[in-house]
Amino acid sequence: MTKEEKLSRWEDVREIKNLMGRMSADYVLKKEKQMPDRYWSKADDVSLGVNNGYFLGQDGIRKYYDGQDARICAESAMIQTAFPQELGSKSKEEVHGVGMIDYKPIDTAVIEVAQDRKTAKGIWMIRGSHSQILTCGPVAYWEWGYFAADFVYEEKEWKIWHLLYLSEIDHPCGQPFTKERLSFKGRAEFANADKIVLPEPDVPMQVRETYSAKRPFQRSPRLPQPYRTFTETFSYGYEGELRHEKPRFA
Amino acid sequence: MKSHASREGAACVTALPGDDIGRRDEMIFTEEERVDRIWDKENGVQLVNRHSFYYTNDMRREELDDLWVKEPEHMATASLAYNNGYYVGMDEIARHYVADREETLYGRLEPYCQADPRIEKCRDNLGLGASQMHTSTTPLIYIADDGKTAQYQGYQIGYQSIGKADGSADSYFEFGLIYADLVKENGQWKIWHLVLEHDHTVEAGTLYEDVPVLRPDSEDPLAGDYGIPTKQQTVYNPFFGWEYVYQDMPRPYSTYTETRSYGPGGELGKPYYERDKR
Repeated sequence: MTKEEKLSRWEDVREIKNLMGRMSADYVLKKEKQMPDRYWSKADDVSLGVNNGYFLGQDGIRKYYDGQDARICAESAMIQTAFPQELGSKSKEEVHGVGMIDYKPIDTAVIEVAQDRKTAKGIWMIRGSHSQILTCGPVAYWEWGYFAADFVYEEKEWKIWHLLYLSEIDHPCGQPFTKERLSFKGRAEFANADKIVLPEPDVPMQVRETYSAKRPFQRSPRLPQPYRTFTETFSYGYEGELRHEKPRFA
Repeated sequence: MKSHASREGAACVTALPGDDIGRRDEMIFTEEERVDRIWDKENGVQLVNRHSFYYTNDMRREELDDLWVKEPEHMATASLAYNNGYYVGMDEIARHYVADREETLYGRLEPYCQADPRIEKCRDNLGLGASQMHTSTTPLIYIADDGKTAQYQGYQIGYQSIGKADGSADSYFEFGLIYADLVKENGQWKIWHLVLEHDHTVEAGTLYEDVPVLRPDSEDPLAGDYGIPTKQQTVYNPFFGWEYVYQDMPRPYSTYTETRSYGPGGELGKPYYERDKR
């Protein structure tokens, strides 16, 4: 490899880290609605795997993020109702994401860029925390898990082609991970929390069972290995699942 | 073609006894060398990250095969350290890191098998009811001027949850530091010396204020993971650890020396007042 080629590949790795860093920041800012356009490929075969299934294609990806955005809007409205003095006069845009946390710091990156530089693969660990509104009000959760992604170089930018976003621990803070989730007394202003329904995956299936003391040990998604071109490696996408590549586990 | 003087280490902290920071003015790398060194840093960090995934996945035998040194002289001097000492040589490392671990996992499986005879005591069931993640983050890495070795420091923040047959678990957040000497073999970085310092443990669901302020390492619920090292000595004392982190940080260096290494011949864990006497 020439030094220019080496530098270019290093820049690819850096850009992919930046992409994931921006996306992580957008979770904090509650910009899920913008994520498909900002970070995702325009390819027809994009896929997003979450613990309970796969969202497929452009419509599936939008359905997932629109569902998240609808949840954020509904939770924001409830917080606004709960704090009329502070928030009562604010517009929907102004209260979007108010009172929420969703930190998804990502680290422990392992990234491989294909020799042909058309695709890349990366995996990260997530150790974060987020809040969710239940009928009792906001509850904070520890979140430990993984992002594993195939990237494609498209219109002079790296974009997400296939993404696995899998939680290993998603449990309320202040409680042992295996303890029955404590229930708190309901509050009238958050009564609608039970009515929030997230969209079902296009392919409902158990991609990863979150941790319990009865669950068999589960490894991370497989680590990327050096590869020349995408057909020579495994996929983090749903097509990998269909080809029985066992993309999910190391 | 010679390039401009490297700025590697230009922002380095104050020199310590034994540092050779003065050579910085003279370091000239070619453009090719500089590009290689950029990649060396990236790949060095990613090697330690790969370790974290293997460690998380309990793929310990595979880790030793895939990521650790292979050349005989490196294998003989390789080390894995915890707070209480060093396992020295790849055979000793494997004895603890692979064999002792497997014994521990079989021990944890036993109560499950007793509670439910349908659960077989076999390798496939190891880790039943367990979960763990060991991140490596905030990396600090320097490549020796000769390009043959690298020194790494990072945080190791994670958790372990050890399930019980009744459906409960002992779950812990753990905090510590990672140090590593990496060495090039056939153009690839390999782990030569790895130090997994454990600073403190917090039981999940426990308030920080309820965690003992001064808990001896021997009473730390995760201290059993250290085992009994080949060379028993204090590598890290959580009571005073942060005092000497500054001394142990990787910093610019010309070539590998045992004294500045993270192996058993290094100074890791020595209080500053003992180092000054050297």
